Amino acid sequence: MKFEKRSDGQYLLDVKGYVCPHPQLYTKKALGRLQAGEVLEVQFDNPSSGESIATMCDNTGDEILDRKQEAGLFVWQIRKI
Amino acid sequence: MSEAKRKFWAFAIVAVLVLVSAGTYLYHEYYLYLSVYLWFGVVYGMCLQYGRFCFSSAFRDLFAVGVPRMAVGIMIAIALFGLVGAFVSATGLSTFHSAPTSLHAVIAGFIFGVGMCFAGGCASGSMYKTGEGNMNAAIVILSISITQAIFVDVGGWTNSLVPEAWKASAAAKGLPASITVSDGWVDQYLAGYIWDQPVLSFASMLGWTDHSVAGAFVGNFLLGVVLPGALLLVVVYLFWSRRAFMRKRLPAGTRAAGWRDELAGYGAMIVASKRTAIAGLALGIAAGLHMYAIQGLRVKYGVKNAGTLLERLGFDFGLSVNGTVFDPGYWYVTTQEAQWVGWVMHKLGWNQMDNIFFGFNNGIPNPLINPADWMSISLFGGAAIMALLHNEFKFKKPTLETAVWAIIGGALMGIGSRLGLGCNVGAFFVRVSQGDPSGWLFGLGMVGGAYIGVKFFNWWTERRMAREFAAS
Amino acid sequence: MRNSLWIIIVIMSAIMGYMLGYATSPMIETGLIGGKPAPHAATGAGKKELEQYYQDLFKEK
Repeated sequence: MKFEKRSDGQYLLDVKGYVCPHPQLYTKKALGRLQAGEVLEVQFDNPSSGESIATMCDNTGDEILDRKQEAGLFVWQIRKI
Repeated sequence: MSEAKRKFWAFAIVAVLVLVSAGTYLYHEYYLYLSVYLWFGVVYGMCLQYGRFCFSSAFRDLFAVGVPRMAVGIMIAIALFGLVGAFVSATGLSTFHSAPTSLHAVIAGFIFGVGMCFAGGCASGSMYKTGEGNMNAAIVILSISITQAIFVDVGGWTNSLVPEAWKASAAAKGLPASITVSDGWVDQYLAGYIWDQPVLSFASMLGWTDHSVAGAFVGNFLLGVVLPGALLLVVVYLFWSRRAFMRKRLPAGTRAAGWRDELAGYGAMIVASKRTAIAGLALGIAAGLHMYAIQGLRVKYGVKNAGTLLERLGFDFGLSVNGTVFDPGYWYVTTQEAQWVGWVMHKLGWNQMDNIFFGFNNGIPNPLINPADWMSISLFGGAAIMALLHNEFKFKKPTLETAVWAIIGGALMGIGSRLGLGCNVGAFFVRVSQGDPSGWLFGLGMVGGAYIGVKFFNWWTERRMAREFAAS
Repeated sequence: MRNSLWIIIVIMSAIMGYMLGYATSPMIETGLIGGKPAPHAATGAGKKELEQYYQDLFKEK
């Protein structure tokens, strides 16, 4: 697990290799620490976590700006509201 | 992997399964019985992967991240399987038998629930994830399998933990001499306690039979599945889905939510995840047809259990004292996993035929001709086909951390499923949808276990996150 | 990719359709489904002997 600040308002959460429930839990915790308007890039490779993260953002109102998927790797950009 | 390559592998898996089916069928028509398990296994695997069908996330994601999608999807699948099952049992063609009902189901479900949280997937979820190339899930499966095979046979000091009443009751059952019922905790648990518990269904509690129209549709389906399921979803809606829906539908201060809004919100929650709902639909129908197909073949071949077929084919090793093998006639996960490990252990010199689980009930046939194992192997295949076609297949090595969780979680699930006579599929999904109250008890336990598991992981991830955040 | 999935679904439907049909015919013959038993099913006087005959068939050698 890796969480780091890339630049102002840009954070990276790397949870590759983790299975449920870790990616969604870490995403929730990471978003909890961000300020409104800041963007989190989540990298994960557990497909089912994507469904949970998407619904979670839908519930909280956080906005998923971009979803990339290549060969089982998911890279999502989420802006905290 | 390029698209052409992925397509090639998907079709290669189908081709191998077709060859196995066709080849064995041409050799002897009895093998069709095993092929029924095989192809329904493929369907289960495809549905599970497509819908990311994970029972563990159904309970866990509610508590952990407030996501109700999987809980909804599973209720849909249960209701549909219940409906198809009601048709099948009203015509007297059901292969389902209720399990004994008592508090043990809650305890077993609890242990199983904690386990599936740790493992990151339930018994069936870990299977489809193995098909996605997730080797962490493969460790979970291995851990479930080995724990079960050891747990059902272990005697020694555990015998002193058996209550006197169980001992006496087990001894009085008059089991064949080859089964050493006084040696083994699970043996005495089964013969001395479980077998003495009442076998119920919602229909029988209301004075109907399971194979009457009233019993199957009104008792088991409406009162046993639809009513409690719909009520549970109301609770899920109020706690986890309503707020977000109303925020979007009624921007602050417009008006108070009326019953129309509530109904719309409830409906929106049910159709929120199309993928999950579609998979639930297909899964429910397939599980019902599976029972029907197996029953048809049993009539055709004049048998009650696949053990007789294996014997007629000349495979007499590994049949239980009753001449039977594990042959549920519907979707099941854990017992066949225990069987293949039991078979290996027996071949290595650990006598597995002197316990009730293997020796009296399920046998340990060669995994190559074990009907339920055909279902499990092809489930991996079905999941792999789906993952390949959606570009979600990825070979994933476990890390030390996740491997430790997988082994602990798998072991807890193995113990929970033997205590509860099944996993999230056999003890919960199938039983609930066929109107067996013990399924709800197991589910109740799973919710409690998932809650405790989430508490633990909340604490764990918070701790790690705080450390990373401070460093960033 | 979508085409491939449909091709696979068609192949599987064909196989499973065969199996379901295979499972249905004995149930119709024995009268388990479809209401009345087929005309050649044992009735009346010869029933006992026929039952015995079928039971003997299942006996192991």
